[in-house]
Amino acid sequence: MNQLAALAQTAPIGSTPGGEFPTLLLSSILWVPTIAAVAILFFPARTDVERDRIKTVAVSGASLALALAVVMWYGFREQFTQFAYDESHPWIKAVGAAYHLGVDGVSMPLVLLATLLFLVAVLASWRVRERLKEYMVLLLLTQTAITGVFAALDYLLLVAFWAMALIGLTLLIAGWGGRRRVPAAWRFFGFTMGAWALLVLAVLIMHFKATAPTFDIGTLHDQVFRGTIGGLLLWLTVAAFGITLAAVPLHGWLLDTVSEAGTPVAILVAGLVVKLGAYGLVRVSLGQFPEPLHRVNTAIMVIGLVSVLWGGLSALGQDNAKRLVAALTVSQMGLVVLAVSSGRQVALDGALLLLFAHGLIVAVLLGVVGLVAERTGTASLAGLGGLAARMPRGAVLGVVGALAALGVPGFVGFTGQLMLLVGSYPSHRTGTMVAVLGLLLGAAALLTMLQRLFFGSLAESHAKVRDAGTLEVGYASGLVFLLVLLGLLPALLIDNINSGVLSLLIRAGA
Amino acid sequence: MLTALLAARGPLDTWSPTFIELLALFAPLVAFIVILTFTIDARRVSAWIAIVFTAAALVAAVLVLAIELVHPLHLERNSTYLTFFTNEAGAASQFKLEWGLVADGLAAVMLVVVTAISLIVQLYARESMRGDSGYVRFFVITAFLTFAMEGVVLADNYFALLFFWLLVSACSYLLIGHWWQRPAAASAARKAFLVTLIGDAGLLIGILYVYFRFNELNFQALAPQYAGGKVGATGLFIMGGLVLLGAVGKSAQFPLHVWLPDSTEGPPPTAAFLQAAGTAVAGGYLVARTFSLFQVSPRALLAVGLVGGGTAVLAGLWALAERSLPRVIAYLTMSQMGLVFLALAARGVGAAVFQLVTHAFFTACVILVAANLVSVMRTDSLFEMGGLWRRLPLSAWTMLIGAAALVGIPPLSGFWSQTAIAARLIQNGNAVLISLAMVALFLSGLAAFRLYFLVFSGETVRRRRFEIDRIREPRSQLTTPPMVLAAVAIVAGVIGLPQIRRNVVSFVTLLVPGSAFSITVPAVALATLPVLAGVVVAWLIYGQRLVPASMLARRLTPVYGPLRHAFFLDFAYRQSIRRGLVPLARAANRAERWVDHVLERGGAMAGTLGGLRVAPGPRVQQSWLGLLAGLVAMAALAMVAAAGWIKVKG
Repeated sequence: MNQLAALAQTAPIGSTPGGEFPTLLLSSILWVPTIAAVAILFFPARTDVERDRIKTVAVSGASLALALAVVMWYGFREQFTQFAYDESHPWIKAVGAAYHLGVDGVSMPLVLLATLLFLVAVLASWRVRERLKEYMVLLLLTQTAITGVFAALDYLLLVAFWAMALIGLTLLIAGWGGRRRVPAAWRFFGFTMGAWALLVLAVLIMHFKATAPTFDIGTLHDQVFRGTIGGLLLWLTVAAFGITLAAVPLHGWLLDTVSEAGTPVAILVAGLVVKLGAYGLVRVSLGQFPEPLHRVNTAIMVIGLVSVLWGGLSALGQDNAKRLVAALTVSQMGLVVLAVSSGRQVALDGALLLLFAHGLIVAVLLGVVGLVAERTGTASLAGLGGLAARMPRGAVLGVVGALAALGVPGFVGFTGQLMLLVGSYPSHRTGTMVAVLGLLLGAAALLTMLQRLFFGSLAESHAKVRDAGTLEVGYASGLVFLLVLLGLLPALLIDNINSGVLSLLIRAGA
Repeated sequence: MLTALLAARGPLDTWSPTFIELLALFAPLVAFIVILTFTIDARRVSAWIAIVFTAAALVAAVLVLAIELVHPLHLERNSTYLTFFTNEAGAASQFKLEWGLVADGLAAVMLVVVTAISLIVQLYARESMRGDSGYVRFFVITAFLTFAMEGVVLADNYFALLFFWLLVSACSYLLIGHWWQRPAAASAARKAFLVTLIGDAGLLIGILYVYFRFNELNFQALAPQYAGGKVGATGLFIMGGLVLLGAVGKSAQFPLHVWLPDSTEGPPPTAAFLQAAGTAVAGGYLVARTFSLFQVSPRALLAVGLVGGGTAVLAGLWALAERSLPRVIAYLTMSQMGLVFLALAARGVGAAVFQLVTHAFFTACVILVAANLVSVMRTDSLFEMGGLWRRLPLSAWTMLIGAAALVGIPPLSGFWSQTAIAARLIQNGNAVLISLAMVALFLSGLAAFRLYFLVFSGETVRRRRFEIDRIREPRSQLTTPPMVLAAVAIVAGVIGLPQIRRNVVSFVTLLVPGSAFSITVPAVALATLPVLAGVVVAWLIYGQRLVPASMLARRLTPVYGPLRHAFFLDFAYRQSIRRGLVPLARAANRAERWVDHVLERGGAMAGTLGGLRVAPGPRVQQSWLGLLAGLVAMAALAMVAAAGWIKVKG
């Protein structure tokens, strides 16, 4: 094995991808879904056969993007102070903006996660019939946008992709979902767009305060912002990303959106949109303003802890299973904020691993909960119970997903949480203990949810509920397999994440 | 080819104890995977696969024990779970989490206990679970629990321990909730998981603390460091207290004991495994494994003793007023674990492990006989049985041996282990611990034989729609496993005899010098007199019925009520959750709505103030449009301006 590894390192292929020769890999990952979306525009959608054809194209597009992302992961080697798969073309020369893409260990797992979850979302949309064409087009365009945010190395490009993602998701929430989906879409749009506006403001200030007018993330990272302006910029970005990752008390939009949107879109919102915020917090707030952040790290920690505790407590009180899962997401994102506030390498490694794990877990949980809601007509825990009798496969997936979510070892969520706590402890000893308390509340909420959904006696009215189909079982088992694989072999991701975090911290002059 | 390979490395390298342990560890996991992948629909085949692989694990465990007996070595086999260099605090250091197996006396003894009990329980369950719709599920999860328990006893560092430790919690949850259709079972499973998780959280924080202070997780490497002065006495006490919290949660010690009596809602084989060699045993094992930490902190050690002694006394008391047969046994298990903790507090690691070994066999025996009785009598109430001595002689004898071994009547196994504990207590314990032990032993004798006499003596209670004349012994597949366990319970005391060169006490504690014990008259007296007193009192009250039980209950009502409800602790916990936590959570949800409302109104007002008045609509949310349009326009304008400005400037 070691000899093989040595061979691979000496071989010219893939030794430093993107270093010497131009690569189009990231662009391909980004734009393949858009191409699929454009192609779908020309397809008719009148009969079932035609609709199936549209779905096939959508699945092919998302699968191709995922396959390319896997190639990206495979070719990724440890990178220090430079980005892999770097692509740069001038864009708006007047303001110094460029079409600049690249990934490091921080963003690479998130690109992988985004392509994975979009494939899951497309598969989970198999039963969408109304306005299927518009739905698939929007979904695929949103995929380009969200992947773009993670891959962008230019602030202007980043905020452009960001806005595109939010608009696409807003339309998806408003168009396909539960009864109160339109108000939920407005709330989603209001909060996330407000956050986006704050981010734009921060980006513009950076742009003007920089010595040379540029939007390039790498160049601006070398710029030091101190004093009042540094503090202002830090708080602007923390506010923007805090709202996007649903930090308490500005988390209500997430609960509404997840409970009202259709299952695939809910998976995307809870699995990816909050990750935009978490990614921004690491890349921008910590990477760009390490010194101002260090000065106020206690305040940031408190924000994180409030989210952890409140999320757990709120989950415990929820009657709606979807809102419960969303509240747990709030709690998990609070942990990530705690890690960022500690600014420590092990904690950040754990946080990024947790982001990946949480994306998979939330897809499983929301998939199961969404299925229950769809089959029984309600997501209210009060009206459910004993469903394991009718939905054995769904119950198994639900139990496995909940165990993964509450941090049972063997699933990668445990590894992420453990590293996060181990890493944060030297900086925030009391804070870490409080976070463990929040995790206990979350565990209680999850176990209560399982009990109320699946165990006990079955209600008469649910005597004919159908079980999860092959499709749901298929993609959920795939996600569980990944959770276990990474839980046993975390090195598959951690080595890359660690090099990214290390170079981020070194660049930030830690 | 193979022989050449083996010869090149030497037999002890290839067939080292750690390698055989690896086989023992993975055998049940292989069974788990094979059943899930191939035979999930074949009931009998799946059961046999689980049993065969557990038997293989037992064989490997016995081999390890044999090797360790001949060559008492401390060996470790580590493989990396996760490693990378960190730049923490400017200095390059390594962050490393490892899987690790340890081969020493303690691990070898516990490995045999875990695999043996798992095997017998599965053999019993193969018959007793026969009509169950979750038959395969039971064997799958039991195989996995065997794997997890083996992982706990083999772990050589805190990370590996925590990994398997939490897996044990999860497996207990799944097993106790086996009959998920019954709300009581589902609740008991959730309770067991959550209560043990509280302890697990304590252990986790303890591990964070240890790692933070020593930058090391390996037990062997840590052992000399605790006393090294890096951490003060208070720090060590807190460390020990946190690890103890983990042990308390798993071993159902006060105040985290509430899950164990309820866990009898699971299938009886599960109860046997959990109480004899599973979750409940893990706590005592944890303190034994991390004993070097407790050794340097007398306060932590005293805490161990007080928790253990207090639990043993309380559990004995509660058992006296309990009416359900399996629950009485659960209380007796708690009491046994309390004795283990007492032994540890008296620095008797060997005695504690000796007690864990004997406990495993007689407790499993008692639980399985009780399970047979419950299924024959179709009730679990002690007061609906009676007089079974004549009707079920085989069960009566098996139970008698089990109960006598449990309370420690000479010369059965419990007597030897309790004598070892008593010897340690006399040597190292203080008056409080010794008196707690005496009371606990008296109560355990009384409670165990109260159970015995209520079930087997007197007349069988007549019930409607239950013909007592048709009571028959269960099939031999159900009576044989407890009989085997009873046989072991008779002779298991031999392994602790001081006359044997490597008796279990000295074998386990090779590394802790001066822990050998000798059978002295005071120790025997301390171990047997309270027990005999308890048995005699039980015989007088429940066997001879000198005092009618009904009158006793009436006279003792003020005491009896609180006892029956275990001092209302469970009730208090439940109320504090129902009246405290749940309303708090609901209040949090209401606060969430309120915050949302305020934000919406604020947004609407901001939109209006910004001059972007939208047509007043029925929905407040629509006004968000105003705010948004404002913000987006602002951003866009700013951008355009920026572009223009730069152009002009450039």
